[in-house]
Amino acid sequence: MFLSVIIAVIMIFGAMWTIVTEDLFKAIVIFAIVSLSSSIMFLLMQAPDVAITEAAIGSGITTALFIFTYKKVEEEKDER
Amino acid sequence: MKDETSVLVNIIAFLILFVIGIYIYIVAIDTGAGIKITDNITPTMRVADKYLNKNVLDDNSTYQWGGTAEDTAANIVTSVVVDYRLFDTTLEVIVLFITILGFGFVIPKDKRKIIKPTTILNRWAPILMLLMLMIGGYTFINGHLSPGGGFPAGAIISTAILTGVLTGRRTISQKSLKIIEAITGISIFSIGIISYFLTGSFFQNFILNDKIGDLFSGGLIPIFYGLIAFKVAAELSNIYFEFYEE
Repeated sequence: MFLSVIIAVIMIFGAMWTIVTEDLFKAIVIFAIVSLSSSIMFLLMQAPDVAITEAAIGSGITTALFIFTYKKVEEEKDER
Repeated sequence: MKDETSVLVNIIAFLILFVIGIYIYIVAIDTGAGIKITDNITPTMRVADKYLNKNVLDDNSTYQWGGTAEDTAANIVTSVVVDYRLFDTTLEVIVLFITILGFGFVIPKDKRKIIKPTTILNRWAPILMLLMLMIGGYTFINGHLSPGGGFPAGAIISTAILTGVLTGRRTISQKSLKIIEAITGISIFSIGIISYFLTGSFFQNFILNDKIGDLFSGGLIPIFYGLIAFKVAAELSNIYFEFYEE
């Protein structure tokens, strides 16, 4: 229970940091941390199926797609 | 945070986050006691109770309850997902397919060069890909015994292809991805139609009477999970190749 409270606090502060920060790349990385801690949260709540899905899709594939899109956006900026 | 509207938006976002945080905190300290969905039936009459009382460790347990589909899978979640809720997963896969159709319109097809990866990533990528493929295969083959399933297995398999894309290797061509996707999509629905003609309802499990807890005991469940895993993996891999097309 103590661990889950710590993870909940990390999730809340990470989500706040994600919307406050100016740097897009920083926001992507912190969002990945929020996803990962939410998957640990699912594991603590006795839902390993959802935890596997969240770890694979939420913190793996979504982060990769965000970073790909970030690189594309930066290239567009450079061309202008 | 320069003008007043953005400050207002930030304040509203913080309020919404505060409410979400309260919910997360409540769930974190909740023990689950006192949750009551239906009052008028006793717990032994619920379907969930039948699942929870499955005995996997006994040698002779075949779990004769109802004599139909849901007798074979040891994992409770898989029993519910594949035997009762397979339409959800199938339609989710179709939603993913439509998303990927949209990617082709949005992303411009321009020539882009792939940056040479470092030596460490270049050398370790095949080993990592093998590990990812093994974990993904285990996840859908053992989906009816341990936590896992078709959708996360497909996601894990597609991360193997993502590792290949990051190092600049063309592991599989886009045409064969489309062929894999079409074959799996057709065979999911044709197995559904076959089970409609054999048993009378769509997507019903018609391979029964296995010993519960064995590797080959789920009937149609590992087959469906494998097909869904390959379809999801092919669709997600298509996205990476849309981004990194030579």
